Amino acid sequence: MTEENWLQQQIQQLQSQATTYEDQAFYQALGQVSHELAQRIEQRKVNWMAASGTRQNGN
Amino acid sequence: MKTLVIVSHPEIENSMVQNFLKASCAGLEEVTWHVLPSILDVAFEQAQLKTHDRIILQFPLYWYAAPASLKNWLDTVLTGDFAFNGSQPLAGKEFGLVVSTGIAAKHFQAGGSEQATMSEILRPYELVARKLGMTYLTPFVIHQLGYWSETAKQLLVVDYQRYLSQQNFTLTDKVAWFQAQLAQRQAVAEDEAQQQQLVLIGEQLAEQSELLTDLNWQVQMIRQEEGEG
Repeated sequence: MTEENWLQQQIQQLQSQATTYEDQAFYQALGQVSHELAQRIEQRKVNWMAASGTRQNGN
Repeated sequence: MKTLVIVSHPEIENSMVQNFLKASCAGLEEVTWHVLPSILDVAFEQAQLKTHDRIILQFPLYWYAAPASLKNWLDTVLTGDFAFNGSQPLAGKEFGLVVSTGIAAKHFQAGGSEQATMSEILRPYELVARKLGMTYLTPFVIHQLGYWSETAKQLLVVDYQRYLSQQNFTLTDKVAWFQAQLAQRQAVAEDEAQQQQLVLIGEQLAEQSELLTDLNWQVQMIRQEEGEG
């Protein structure tokens, strides 16, 4: 299981146990920000590979 | 940071949007919810502005402007003597707008049926903020809340809370805001397993955030070296 999947699973579990609307909303949004972070990290890894490849190849 | 939400609405009891937003921020300790009364106590209004750091004007859009009570408030409270002739008591504070409209977002763009963007329509408020030496925040606009899905409404609750209480609006600050909320929930959680779960989630978020910062830095360094080369 990837770290993101683990995190999403934990958050969903807490959301399913939430007893107030505010808590449900919070965990819904927390799942989204966690996903956003994971996506940004993947994007930066691509940027990193592209940038370091450019440096090595000199173009 | 203390936030003052100044709400202008002629029939606030019947407003679905305002009631939704009021409930959304009920748990925020540093937020003052202030509905404009029909008769203003100018000294009180001015004192409130001085004691808060982020001032939010919140209203439904009527004929491309705020309801009359907010215009009256602007004219009566933000007098030259108080706000900008001589000392500037509001300088350095933040100025935000929460605006609701019954028209879909797609109509507020060049070529759209409204023929204007929200930034253009709300420009007078940006000028007010500038005149007062305040930092103008990106407006928080809610289009047609009645048509939103339950999930979208839940996300709106938190986006609104963040607009009122998050220090800055970078991703790092967003993560920090969620971590603070997790810590609050952890402090009141009765179940030990749940407490542990909240700690682990907070730690995982912190790790991800650090990794992203590190990657950003590395990419920036590589590009900088290229520029120097």
